[in-house]
Amino acid sequence: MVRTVTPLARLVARLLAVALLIALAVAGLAIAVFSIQSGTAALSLPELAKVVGLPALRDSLGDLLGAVEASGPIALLSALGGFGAVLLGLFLLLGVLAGRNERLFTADESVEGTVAAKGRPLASVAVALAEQTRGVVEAKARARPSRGGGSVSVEAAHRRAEGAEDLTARVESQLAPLRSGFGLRTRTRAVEGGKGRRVE
Amino acid sequence: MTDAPASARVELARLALNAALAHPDVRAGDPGPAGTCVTTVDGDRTEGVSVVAEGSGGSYAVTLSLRTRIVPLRPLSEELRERVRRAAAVSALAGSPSSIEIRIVDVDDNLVAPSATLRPPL
Repeated sequence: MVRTVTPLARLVARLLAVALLIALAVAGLAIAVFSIQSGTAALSLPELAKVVGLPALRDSLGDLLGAVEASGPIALLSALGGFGAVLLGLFLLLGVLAGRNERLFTADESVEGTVAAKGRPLASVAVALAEQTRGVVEAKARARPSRGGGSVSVEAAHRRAEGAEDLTARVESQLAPLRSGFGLRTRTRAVEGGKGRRVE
Repeated sequence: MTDAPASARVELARLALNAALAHPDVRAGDPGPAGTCVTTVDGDRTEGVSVVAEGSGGSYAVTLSLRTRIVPLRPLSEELRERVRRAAAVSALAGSPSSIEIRIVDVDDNLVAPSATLRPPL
């Protein structure tokens, strides 16, 4: 769920950040221009307040706050609005904070530096290794990082005549370099056939 | 008017990336998430390398973010580290790499290197 929503949240957060920056720039410019004169002159801050409609806003806001204090439908709407604002805030926080950390599988970390790879290249290597195994028609792999170093799950499609247990053992043997090189746990599942391929 | 000479950091970034790209199994540099592995000078972006000074002794932490062929990744990383160190040693740069981080961010699925048997340790 979070993985699905995060890209949208990130996009909304970025668009909102741009919109807020533009609004801030326009507000700053307006305040700078209307600070040229003082008192109640045309380019003074009180005049800016009138142009923006702050006195009218103060009156209407006073009415609204009075209505919110009393129990009734407006208070319920306000509570719902507050709840929605909290949800929106959490959504935007997700967009700003989530997914920033690059998920890397570390093979070696020392004063000399670090050797690390992302999941996709490791999964591709796992596929290449698995497909070199005798009897494997097609392979798919997925790498998942974790605190213990991560794991690679391989699904190896094979012909009907091949025994699944033997094939799993052969694929696991092929994947040994991934275990020793990147400290990954490997798990192989043998399935009959392969996508778009004829089973002999 | 002449251009100002590039800083030792920038020169080291270029040297490290060029040394890595000279390897036949390295396809390209990758800017990383949100362009975190990029060195920019006067609007000129060098993607796939970032260099950060460590202390004031002219030593730098180098990070390379790379796309490669499907080859044993760990030996490749070690070889790239060695290439960068060698290139920095023979150059007349003021800065030298104290640590070199190699990040393999992607591989070209259809480009298994002709010489690559994936049996050696990854």
